Amino acid sequence: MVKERKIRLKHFNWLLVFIILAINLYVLVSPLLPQIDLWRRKQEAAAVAGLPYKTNLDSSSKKDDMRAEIPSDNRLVIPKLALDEHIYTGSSPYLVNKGVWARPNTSTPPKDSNTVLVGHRFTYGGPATFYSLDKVAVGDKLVLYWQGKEYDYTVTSTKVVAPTAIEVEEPTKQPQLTVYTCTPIWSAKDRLVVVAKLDEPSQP
Amino acid sequence: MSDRKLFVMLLIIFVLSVGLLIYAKAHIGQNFINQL
Repeated sequence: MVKERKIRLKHFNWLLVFIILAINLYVLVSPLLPQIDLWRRKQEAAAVAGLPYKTNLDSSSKKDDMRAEIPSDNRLVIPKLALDEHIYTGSSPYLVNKGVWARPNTSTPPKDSNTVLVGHRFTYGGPATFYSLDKVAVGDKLVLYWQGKEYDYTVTSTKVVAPTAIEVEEPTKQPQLTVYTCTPIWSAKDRLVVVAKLDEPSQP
Repeated sequence: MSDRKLFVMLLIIFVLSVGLLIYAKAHIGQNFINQL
């Protein structure tokens, strides 16, 4: 009886060791996964220069043949990050837990004002949509596919602001795309804001 | 070390690990929504 209990305790200890290892591995490795994902996406996107759909930016290239038609859903493409994400629209703030969320009460590309998109930098168990947004620099391209049309933007500035800096969402006279997320990467202390201006009039 | 002592030690580490997991889930990035 005593021997049986000892064996059972030993098995239980092994089970605990396994669970402890699994939990700690999850906590330690999860933050690295978006980085690995970025590397994988960049490998895949290299063939189309990070532009997965037919685009006005590089239409003469042979690469264009490999690209899919302009998507019918709203999408944000950041070629530098090989990022291609669906844009969720709606008033629920929890949409940000799904991916890129177009902030309600801000503009949309056809309205030619300030279109504001937000996403998480990193969360445990959630998307790390803008994990590498800090790598976007002035001069980089952002492509927005909105209601079947392409809108190309060029980044004009990046900045870090306090969460209270609601002016980043204010309407603008010129068509503009504002993308922001949390910074520093492990906290929600500040906001990393990327501002981009529309390149040219939208084309069908 | 006896199995019993090992069990107590593992139990403490398990509780600490679960605490770490809960902290990470609750505090890393999640405040974002509330601060918008």
